[in-house]
Amino acid sequence: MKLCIGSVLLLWLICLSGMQISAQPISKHYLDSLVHLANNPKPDSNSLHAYIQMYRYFFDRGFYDSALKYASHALPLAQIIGNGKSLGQMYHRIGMSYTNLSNYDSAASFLKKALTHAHASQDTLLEVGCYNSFAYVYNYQSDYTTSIEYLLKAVHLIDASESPAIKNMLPQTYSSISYNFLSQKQFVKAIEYAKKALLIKGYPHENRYRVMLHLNAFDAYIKQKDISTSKKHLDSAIAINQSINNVILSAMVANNEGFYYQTIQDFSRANKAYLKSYQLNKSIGNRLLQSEAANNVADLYLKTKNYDEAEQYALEANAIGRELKLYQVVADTYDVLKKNASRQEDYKAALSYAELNKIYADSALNEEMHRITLSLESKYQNQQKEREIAALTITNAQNELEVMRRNRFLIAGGMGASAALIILGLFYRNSRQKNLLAEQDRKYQQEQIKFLERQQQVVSLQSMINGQEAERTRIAKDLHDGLGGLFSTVKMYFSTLQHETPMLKENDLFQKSYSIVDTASIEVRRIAHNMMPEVLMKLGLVNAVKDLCDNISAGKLMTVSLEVHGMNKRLNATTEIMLFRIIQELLNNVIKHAQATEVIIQFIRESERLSVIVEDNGQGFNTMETDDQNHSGIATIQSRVNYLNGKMSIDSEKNVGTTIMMDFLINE
Amino acid sequence: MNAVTKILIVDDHPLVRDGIQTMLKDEPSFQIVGSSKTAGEALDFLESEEPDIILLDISLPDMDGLQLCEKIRMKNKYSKIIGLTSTNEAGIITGLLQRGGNGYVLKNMERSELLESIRTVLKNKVYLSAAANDKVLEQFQSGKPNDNSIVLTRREKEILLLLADGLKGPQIAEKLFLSPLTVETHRKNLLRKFNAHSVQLLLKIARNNGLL
Repeated sequence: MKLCIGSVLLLWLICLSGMQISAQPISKHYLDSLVHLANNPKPDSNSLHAYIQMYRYFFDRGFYDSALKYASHALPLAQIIGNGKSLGQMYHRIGMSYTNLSNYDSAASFLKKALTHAHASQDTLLEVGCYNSFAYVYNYQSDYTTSIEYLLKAVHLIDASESPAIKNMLPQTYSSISYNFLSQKQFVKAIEYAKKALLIKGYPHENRYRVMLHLNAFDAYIKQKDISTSKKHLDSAIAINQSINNVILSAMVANNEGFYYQTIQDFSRANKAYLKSYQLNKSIGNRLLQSEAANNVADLYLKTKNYDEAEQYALEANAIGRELKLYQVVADTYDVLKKNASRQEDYKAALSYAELNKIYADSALNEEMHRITLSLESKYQNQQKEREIAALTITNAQNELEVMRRNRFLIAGGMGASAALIILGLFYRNSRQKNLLAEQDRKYQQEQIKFLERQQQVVSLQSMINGQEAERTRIAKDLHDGLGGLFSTVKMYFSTLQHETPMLKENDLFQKSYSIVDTASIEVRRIAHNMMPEVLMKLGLVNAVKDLCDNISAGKLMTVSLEVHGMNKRLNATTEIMLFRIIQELLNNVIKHAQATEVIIQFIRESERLSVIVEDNGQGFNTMETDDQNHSGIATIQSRVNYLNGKMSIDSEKNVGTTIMMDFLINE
Repeated sequence: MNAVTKILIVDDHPLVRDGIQTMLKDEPSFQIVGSSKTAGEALDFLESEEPDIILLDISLPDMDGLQLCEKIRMKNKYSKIIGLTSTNEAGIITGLLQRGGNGYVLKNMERSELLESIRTVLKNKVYLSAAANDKVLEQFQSGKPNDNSIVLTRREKEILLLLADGLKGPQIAEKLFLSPLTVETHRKNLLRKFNAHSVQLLLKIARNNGLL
């Protein structure tokens, strides 16, 4: 299981920077009065101030949508009422909101405007703030180098400034640099900057930053496997945290504590710490962190074999994760649920969880890959620029000393090497992704093997159904060839007799017998056909279903069309018969209940996967109603689908139609 | 046509073979030159003989009658093959014609019908007994015009539109209140139906076909 400690730290950074600006707490009641103020029909500086307060209220609580809304409302007011300085600050606020909403393009463009205004109004504090915010934008996009570049610009400004307010930004900036190095896995550098920041004293919210810096150091040391030093920093963070009362920070500390105990494999303490983090995050309504914490708790419960609790927390984390699109969390929780289900020998559920796990893990991987690609692209472009510059330099130096020429080769070689490295890196990531996917496939197949083994146990039931169909086939054949042949032959004789003795045409009794024999032979044919259609035996499922469709369509009540892809190879006889029965049953249901005018039957096969869909445009039905007539039909179908180890899902909408979807694994 | 028409009967049922022989006995122009109980016997017979008519039962013990028809047709382009069966299923009827059959008669035929079928196929025409004729017509009339265009299900249409909007599987699932697994299946089906290996290609083909 992947630990989410990284993203937790990052969020903390943003929360803190928000609090840096707004120190005073705002109650809900106060917020109402602010709304009143802001909605003043004649907007003045009070309304502007009210908007800013509301922006802060929501920003600090992580409601970035609302924060963005109020900052955007305030922008035209700031353009009319405020000076260049307040306009710049407003752009900065909008940029920060966009950053947290992961809209990095908009964020960068607003931060750029803010920076222009900061330059124009010589607002160095805002300029430093902008550089810090740019650093977040790039950090979120995994471009840590650019992020650090902006932070170093901020450090440069801070160093040059005499203003205490600006000087106070230094620990925060160092802390961000440290965090970027941590993200780059440059642990030594991360520790260096954390320690630099820890040396600074006497600035606002000092203890908060110290807790965080210690946690940074803890993280860097533990990842270097220096457990004892990491423990010292963790203890410092815990001690300082006790002296201040900050819930977010406490949750952070608890989370890191959990990570520590998990690393040293003290699972019960790890679980306690994660539980604390979970409760704290829940108490402040930070659903993102709550979901990640619940995920960790579930994992630990699984490790300590508390299965019920594991499931409970996994379900909670899963629900929030899906809501907030935290794909990795969702994937992780499905993993926990899968393990739990297979422990309870519910292999069907386990298989379905395994598939969900795969889908979400893929989504998470895709997002990660997307981010990596973006950052590689920008790095590559930088490299390209450097190359062009280098090439120019070389041309100038061409006629100079021999030494210079050698240098040129060195530079070119270096560039070649670095380009090769990038390409190698890309290949590495690519192959790593392939390995990951292969690994997932392997796990998935193991799940399937287990599932199939389980299915072996119900083999007696299967052979019963099998026997039933075999019996039907046999009877149908006997009817056709035996009884059918007899009736046909009698008719042939009658027919010849009538030809030889024309007067029999007038004989009533003969004519009656003749017609009864004819009826009997047709009847035998009908019964045999219902037992087992010949076309199904001889030409296979698709042809049989086609006949079925045409038969129904010929009745003109509804049109049944058939879509077939990848079904050139026939399936084994039992599967074909079973699928045919399923389709027959489903079409019967549609005819009886749906009042549909159009039906689509679709078979799509791709290697082992077979997807069968029956969709109608009828009146639909409530899939929850159990006493419905539809339902009894559905239950029969479901048992047949089960027999084939398939999965069925029903998706019905009133007055729109019903889609029945079945998935099978065909292994021959 | 005054020459004698040579007929081979292929049917594993002795009574049926007798019945057919009885029906044909009063027709001097029709001569039964052989009767085979199995596909193997029929193929052996056809090694040396070339009958004008083969009356072929499609349920034989050793080989499927449709396969036998195909097999005969590969070597022998001359003989007219009339399927002789107790089933009246459109798939079987067209299946036989596709494999080189010239006519299709149901076993509970009238004498006159059998004679007519033989005479018709000898004139290089296709003969279908009345009931078989109705079945085949049904198949042609009920089926939608076969223009090879891809038919999409309702859900597939919805999902195609959302994919075009750039949404990913889980997002689509959320939007349509479906399980992500279901959406994934629809997505895979769409790719398969359009023969596309990527969603980009799928969207491109869909656009070119006016589906988007």
